[in-house]
Amino acid sequence: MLTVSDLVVKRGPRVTLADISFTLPAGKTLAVVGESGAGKSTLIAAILGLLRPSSGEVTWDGAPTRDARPALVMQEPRAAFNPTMSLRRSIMEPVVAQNISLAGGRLERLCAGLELPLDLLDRRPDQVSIGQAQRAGILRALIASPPLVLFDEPLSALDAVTQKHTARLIAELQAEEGFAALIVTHDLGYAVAHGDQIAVLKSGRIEEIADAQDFALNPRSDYCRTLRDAAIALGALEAVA
Amino acid sequence: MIKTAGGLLLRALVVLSGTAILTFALLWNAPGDPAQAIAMARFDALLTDEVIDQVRAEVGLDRSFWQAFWAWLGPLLTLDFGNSAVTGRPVWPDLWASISYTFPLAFAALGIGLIISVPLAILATKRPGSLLDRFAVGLASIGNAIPAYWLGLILILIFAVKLAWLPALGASTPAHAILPALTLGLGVAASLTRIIRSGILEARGQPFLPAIRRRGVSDRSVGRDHVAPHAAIPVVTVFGLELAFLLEGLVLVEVIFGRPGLGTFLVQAILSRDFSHVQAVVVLTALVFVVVNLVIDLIYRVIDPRIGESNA
Repeated sequence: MLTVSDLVVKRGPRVTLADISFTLPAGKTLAVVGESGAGKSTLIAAILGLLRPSSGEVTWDGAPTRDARPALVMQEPRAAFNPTMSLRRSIMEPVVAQNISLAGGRLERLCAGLELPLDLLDRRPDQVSIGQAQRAGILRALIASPPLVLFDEPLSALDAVTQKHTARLIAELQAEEGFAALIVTHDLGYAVAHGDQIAVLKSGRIEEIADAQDFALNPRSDYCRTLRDAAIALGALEAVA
Repeated sequence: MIKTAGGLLLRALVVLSGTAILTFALLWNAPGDPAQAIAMARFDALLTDEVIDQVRAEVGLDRSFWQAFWAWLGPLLTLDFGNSAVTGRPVWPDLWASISYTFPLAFAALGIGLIISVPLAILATKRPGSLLDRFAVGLASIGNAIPAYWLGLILILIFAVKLAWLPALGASTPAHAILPALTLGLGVAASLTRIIRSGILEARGQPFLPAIRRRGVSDRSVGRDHVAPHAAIPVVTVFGLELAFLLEGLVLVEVIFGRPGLGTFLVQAILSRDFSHVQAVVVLTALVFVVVNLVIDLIYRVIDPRIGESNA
């Protein structure tokens, strides 16, 4: 279980994250929604341990999250890979580094699940489509069976059709692999459809955290209600209640 | 791959023949009477027109430009640099003697540059902005700003005149090469330090690195597989350029330290209008450049397979 307790991150005099607390059980999905500058990327960096919090704690099953070797799926699919290496080499990097012997056929099974032809892996990131690069990024994240996977706007660089497709593949793989997913997104429709819980981040604070369905039905704060109604108006979220 | 190598070789050939024609044309059309200059260099006295005309015919200066050019180029293609118009001796043995002084000095300077700059840049980038980092940047800036001839004189003043640890002039022992090599090497170290440092810092900011940071990939592997190759591209470029500056610096340094070598060889050849000597040096220099560029191009392609791809 991911436990974030009283997390505060300051950059100089500016507080970028304040009093963040939540838990994310294994196998579940937390969707973190918020506008640009709300602190979503900082939250990811803090969970990965890439920045030192001013106070508070982030743990996975009681130990620092970095010990759980959490994986990250980045927003820009091509930029997420070393441009000079083949996708295969990048994807296998965590496996080689952690000295894991993959179960027979795991790579093939994941590739099939992500609808990635195996021979595609011998290309470089600039030689595949954005959608394929993103699925390769997901493959790299999942290959070493991490208990926790962070998704930083995993769909925002993709076109509408590819977004739906990729979202479905992520959900299917999560059901199979059982990892906990923290998905940062600005798309409330996606968050409600795929999150078990929704956390709304505003100016570095959690405005509201609730079960996805409860949130869609009855947001408590005015800000969240505005957010929900805007998503319904845009057609990103089906009208509820 | 074969196509690539062919293209690179073709480019090299164009550069070499262009350089050959251009040098020949420049020397041919330089102001003053070359025959007179050669005759004076040869006999070291004021001469009658008859003697000068005799020299002109003997050296082949009475021919047309293209006749003279082909007469020079033909043997050159078989690596025959011809004879000196001034001394009458074959060019190659004298040129080789100069090379045997200059090339070791150049390699020593590059070696000194690498030995200083690589560890300094790596130490500096351990903690960017730290005291050590600022010290390294400051040192590199000062090193870049100091001209080689001034540094050479200061080194002579300190180590040869005041301390009397090292010889200043000549080239009779390996110890004679230390001060000139330092003079050139410190300059090389200065510019390499800056470029390696900024290369490493930039490579550390590559966008994909967060994706592998917590995946068990060691800092060492990140450095070796992701940071170093990315940082190497500008370093390789500058290293090649450095070689160009080095050849320029060698001329000065050899003169300051009274060393025989290509620089001294070239200066004397120009003063005495020794066509075949000047051309030999220029062609040799061009050849060095072409080979260096060829090697750099190939290294680029090894580091980054995207480079040189027609569909990239």
